[in-house]
Amino acid sequence: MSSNKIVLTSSDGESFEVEEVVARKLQIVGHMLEDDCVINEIPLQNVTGDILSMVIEYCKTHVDEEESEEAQTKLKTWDEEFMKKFDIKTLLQIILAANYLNVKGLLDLVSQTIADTIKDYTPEQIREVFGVENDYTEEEEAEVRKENAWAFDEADTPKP
Amino acid sequence: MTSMEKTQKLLTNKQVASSARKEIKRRGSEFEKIHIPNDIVEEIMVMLPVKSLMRFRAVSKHWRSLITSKEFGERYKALEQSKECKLLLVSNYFKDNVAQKTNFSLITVALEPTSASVVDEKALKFEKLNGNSIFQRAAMALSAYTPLT
Repeated sequence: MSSNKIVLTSSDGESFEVEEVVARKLQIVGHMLEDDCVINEIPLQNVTGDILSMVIEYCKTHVDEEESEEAQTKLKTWDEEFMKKFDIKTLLQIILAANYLNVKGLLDLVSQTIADTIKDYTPEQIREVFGVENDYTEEEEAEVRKENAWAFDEADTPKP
Repeated sequence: MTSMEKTQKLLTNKQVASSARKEIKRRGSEFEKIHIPNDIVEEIMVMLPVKSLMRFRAVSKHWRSLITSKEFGERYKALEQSKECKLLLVSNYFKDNVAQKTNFSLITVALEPTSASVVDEKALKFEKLNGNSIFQRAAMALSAYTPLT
């Protein structure tokens, strides 16, 4: 059986030729293919080549998800190893891409990984990583911190 | 190829390299200004422990309003309840007002029959310190769910 190939092009003009089954893991592509089955090149405006290549790597690995416990365990281990490669900034790029391209499994995986990474962050670290502006006045911030003081002890005293 | 052509080619390569560097630099600065839409922030937030969420209320007014919104609270609670692992959440109120002002054996708190929750390690330490088994029994039924709203 010959498999149909599809070319995915990133916002910065990088092209990836992938099998249709892999491309369909990106639901955004799946929908386009349903609308018009003759497409063989798809431009993806909101994702750069370096991030798209990671997403494709995930989709290739998850292309035939077997039910067996062994296969599931293997995939889970692969997921964990795959996520270890990225720093928090890259993880955020990947979650944006997974959301845009609509890859549910990857979205869940990255959300969990990001949550695990940031759970002990201080508010300052969150602001920096997420690019959030602190719109509290000094007094307001002190008040919120006081209200939730019990949640701060570990974050403020780094583990030895 | 004449030497002049070679020089020109070298020059072009240099220019390409320099513009590529500029491109990287430009993308680098864009990268810093990453904007994460609310729905994605929420996807991440629902995976966070309560303790982190309480701390992240101090990030900004916007984050606080996301965390304390009714919709988020309900979604968070539903997700927690769907997890098989049931833990106990001890609220601020419980720790500050109940645990400190009363002996554990005297506690009467409003209990809800079902809840999912998270343990505050401090409360566990408290329990160990006091060696009070009443706490454990209360814990089984307790839904001292920290109001996220």
